Order: sequence, then C-alpha cells, then structure tokens
Amino acid sequence: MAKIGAKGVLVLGGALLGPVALGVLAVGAVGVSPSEVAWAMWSLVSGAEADTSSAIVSDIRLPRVVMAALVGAALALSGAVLQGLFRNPLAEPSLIGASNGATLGAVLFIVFIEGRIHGILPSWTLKFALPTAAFAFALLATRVVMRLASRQGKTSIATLLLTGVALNAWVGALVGLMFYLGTDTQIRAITFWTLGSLSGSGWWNVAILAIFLLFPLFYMPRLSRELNALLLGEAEAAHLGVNVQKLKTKAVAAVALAVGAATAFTGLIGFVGLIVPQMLRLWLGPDHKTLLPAAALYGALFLPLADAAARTLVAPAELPIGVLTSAIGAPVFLLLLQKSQAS
Amino acid sequence: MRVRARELRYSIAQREILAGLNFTLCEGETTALLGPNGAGKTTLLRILAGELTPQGGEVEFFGMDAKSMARHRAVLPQSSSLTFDFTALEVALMGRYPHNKGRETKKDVEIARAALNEAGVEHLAERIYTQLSGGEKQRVHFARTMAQIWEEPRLLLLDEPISNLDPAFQHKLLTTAKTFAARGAAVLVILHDFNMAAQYAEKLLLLSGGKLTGCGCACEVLTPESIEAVFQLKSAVVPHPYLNCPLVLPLNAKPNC
Repeated sequence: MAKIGAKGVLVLGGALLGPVALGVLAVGAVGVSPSEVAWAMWSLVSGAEADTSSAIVSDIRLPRVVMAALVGAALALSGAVLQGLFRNPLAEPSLIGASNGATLGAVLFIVFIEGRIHGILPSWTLKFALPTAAFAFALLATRVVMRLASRQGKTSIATLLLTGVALNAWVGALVGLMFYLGTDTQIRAITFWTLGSLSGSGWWNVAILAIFLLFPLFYMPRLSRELNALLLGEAEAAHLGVNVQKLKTKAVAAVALAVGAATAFTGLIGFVGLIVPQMLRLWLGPDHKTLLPAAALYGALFLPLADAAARTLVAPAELPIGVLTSAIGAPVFLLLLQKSQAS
Repeated sequence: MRVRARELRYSIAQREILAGLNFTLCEGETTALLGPNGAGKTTLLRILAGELTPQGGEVEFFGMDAKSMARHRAVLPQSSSLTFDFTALEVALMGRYPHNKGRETKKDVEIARAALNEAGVEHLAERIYTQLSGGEKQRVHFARTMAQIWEEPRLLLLDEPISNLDPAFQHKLLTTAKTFAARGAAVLVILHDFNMAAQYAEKLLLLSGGKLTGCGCACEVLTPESIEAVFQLKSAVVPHPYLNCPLVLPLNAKPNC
C-alpha cells in the first residue's frame, strides 16, 4: 500500500467518514437519492417537515448507521488493545470472556426469562432487558476469567488466554444445550443473536450505547505508550516504569466495557476486532499511538459499510451482519497475510 | 553518589538464594558480577532492577526513592522477545518513555539517535527491528537502555549481555558499556567469561552460594585458588602479555593438536 504516513491515514479516515455516512444512508431496501439524504439531514437539523424518504433516513437508517459506527469503533479498538496486551496480532476481543459472557446472558435470557416477563413488565422495557442481561453477563464473565488467571494479585497473560479459550468452549456447549431445550422461536432468536444484527437500532439504543462507550473509546488510546512498552516484554515494560499489573487490569476492564456494551445491543459480530487492527498494523506499523485511534476510526468506517451491504445484497431481506463481516473479512485477511509474507 | 547494598537477603521456599550481601556500585565504574550457575546472580540483578523485593537488607539508589527509578535505572536483558515491526529508532525511543508524558520531543529523538550512534547501530535507525540479526537487535536494545538513562545519576544493569554475540560484537558492546560508565554511570554486568571481566571491569564481584566470596580488582579476585573453590575449575592465572590485567587459562581440557 502507498506510504502516506501515520497522520495521513488518520486524516484520510476522518475525511472518508462524511462521504461514507452519506453513501450508506442512501442505500437499502428503499432507494433514496443522495439529494434526499441531504434534505433529510437538513430537516433533522432545522426541524422542517419530513416526507417519507426523509423519515426512512433520519428515523431508521441514521440511528442504524451511527450504531454501526459506534460498534465498529468499539470492536476494532478493543481488538487492537488486546493484541497489544497479549503481544499477539491474532488476539481478538472474545478472548477475555466479554463476548462469550454476553452470549451466555442473551441465550439464558431468551430461553428462560423472556417468555415469563412478557406482559408483566411494560413492553418498552423488553427491548432493553436482553441487552441488560447480556451486558451484565459480559462483565461477570470477564471478572471470572480475570480472577481465574490471577494468583497473588498477578495476572498471567498465558493463563488468561487459555481461560478465555476454555470459557469459549463451555459457552458453546451451553448454547448447544439451549438449542436442545428451546422452542423454535427461541432457537431462531438465539441463531440471529449469535450472527449479529444491527436491525432495530433506534435512537434510544444509540444513546445508551454511546454513554457506555464514551469512557472506553476515549480511555483506551491513552494506554498506547504503555502497550508499546509491553511489547518489549513484561519485565522490560516494568523497567520503563510501567505498572504492568495495573495496565492489564485497566486494558481488560476497558475492553470488557466496550465489547460487552457493543455485543449486548448487536449480538456477535465477528472478525471486525481482528481484521481492522490487523490491516492497519500492516499499513501503519505496530505503534499504538497511531494504531489505536486509527483502529477506532476505520472500525467506524468498516462496519457501516458492511451493514449497508448486509441490507442491500438480499433486499428486502437482510443478511446477518456477522455472516457478512466474516465472509468479507476472512478472504481479505488471507490476502493480506499472503502479501505480507511475500514482501 | 553511589548504589549501596546492605545485608541483602533473599530466599525461595526456605532455600537461601542470597545470604547477606554488602557491596557498592560507584558512578563511573564498570562492575562485573561473576559466579557459577545458581549462585544468585540473576536474583541479585532482579533485586537491583526492582523486580524483586529483598526479604532482608536494603538497596540505596543514589539516595533516591526506589519506586521512581525508571529515569535513572535501566536493564538490558540477555535477549528480547519483541516480535512487532518497529523501526530501530522507535525501539530506542521507547527508552525515553519515562521522560516524556505525551509525545516525544526533539530532544528525545536526539538522545535516541545519539544512543544508537553510541551502540554503533545508527545506520540501522530506519530499519525494521524484526529483520535485524541477533547481534544488531541486542545493540538496538542497548541503545534503548542508554537512552533511558541519558542523564545522571544512573545505574545500568546488564544481564549476560554478550552470551549470544560473536567475539567482535562482545568486545564492542563491553567497550560501549565501559565508555558509558566513564561518562558517569554505575554499570553492573553479569559475565561468565573471566577474561572479559578482567579486561573491561574495574571491579569484580564473585558470587558463590549466595555469598560474596570476592570483591575487588581482577588481580585480587581472579586467582587459581578462588576459581578452583568457586567453579571447581583448575586454572593458571598469568599476566596478560599485552594488556594490563590477569589472564585466566583453564586447564581442564586435554587437547591433542
């Protein structure tokens, strides 16, 4: 790829945000022209009378695009941070238990809770009950994984990785069990959750997710220098004045918050946290000072684009976004890998 | 201004690793730490590096708070596990992390480049670290540790820094270490080679079974008796024919050339 420098990559990403947003707002089951998108934006700002296509853009597509951007940024940034923490470019956000925990929470909720609280709680709360369960389990699972990987206040990164792998297998088994126990409707709900979806993203979801992501998204890039030092080795980082144990706790907590919140609203969206940082590392080099902001920025570009494809490829139906990210992600990843091996 | 260790004790599971060590590391001096495997050299280095807390005794670092030593104490490990594609200059610049809170300043870059120059690898500054040879990598890390403690007071700890290097690189690295010490650093280097220690260190510490059995200049510490007692190695010690230091000749081998 062309050498445009670290700053150039960030500027390019920033400059692309606007056009990409306008582009993905225009595509979907109902065709909307770019001028209508612009008009919808204007009516949103000015409060002018909205027609049907403006309503589609501002009430349905815009929150969904913003949701996709937030989730994309959260997953890509979390992936980049964990790859630094594990000193392994192949680490991904699911390793610390957050996404597995969220899956567990969501699946248990779908099978055991959802039917029972139907009609008891006001119906608008139902939309948030599943994300709440998923988020709570995400944090809980990360806490348990961290606990199991720590002895005498010290966390072993190798044990953390293996514990995450074990949890992955265990949650997989439980999800399988739920397939056995659940009704057809529940099984369908579980399937869609594990494939990820951005449909049903209203402004409320966006607002709540934004609140939860505000802290981790701004906090994680601040860890960049300490993560750079950690790449030298744990002892070497400590010699450079880094409190390594504190760094591990801070990074894992921030990632759990970000991945837990994002996954709670959208289900499992695979590969974004692996491939976006990986591509950027090949492009920019391993320095977290530029890698982390770039991961957030390009994650925010990538997921709305992938979602736009998911909405249009089989319109009026929709592809699950997780299927699409993995379907695009895996070959691109292999291509890059081959290319970097060749050079 | 010096680093002083008093009555250092350390044991793991009832086994005494260090049994009350007293010594001083002076600024401007290169001190070599010698001893057989398992003598406690690495434990001692890790205590001085702040990785381990001694169970008895204390270390006084230039009269400073041992907790905020990152600007004054650097450690060069035997080898490093960095597998990410930083440039050599970026690696050296990491040594400046304790000094800048945000971005690297011009001064940091100047110091990193000067340190690379000192380590003899300035021509590799823009090269990708992972593509360098083992010896080049080690010297880039040496530059990183020197950049970390460019200003005084400073303590440089080298953990068997030459064991993976060819003879020319071994001498280059120790020459650089000695020059760095002469500019005002206290340098402690773990070595296995008696003659390298004799040629480059002003002071030798001989560690055996957690105790200091020798402390002083090479001609005092390196005697056939002490080498036999500590290493169970028969040797002759003669004056070096060209340099002003002793030359240790182990006599175990039976060559048939």
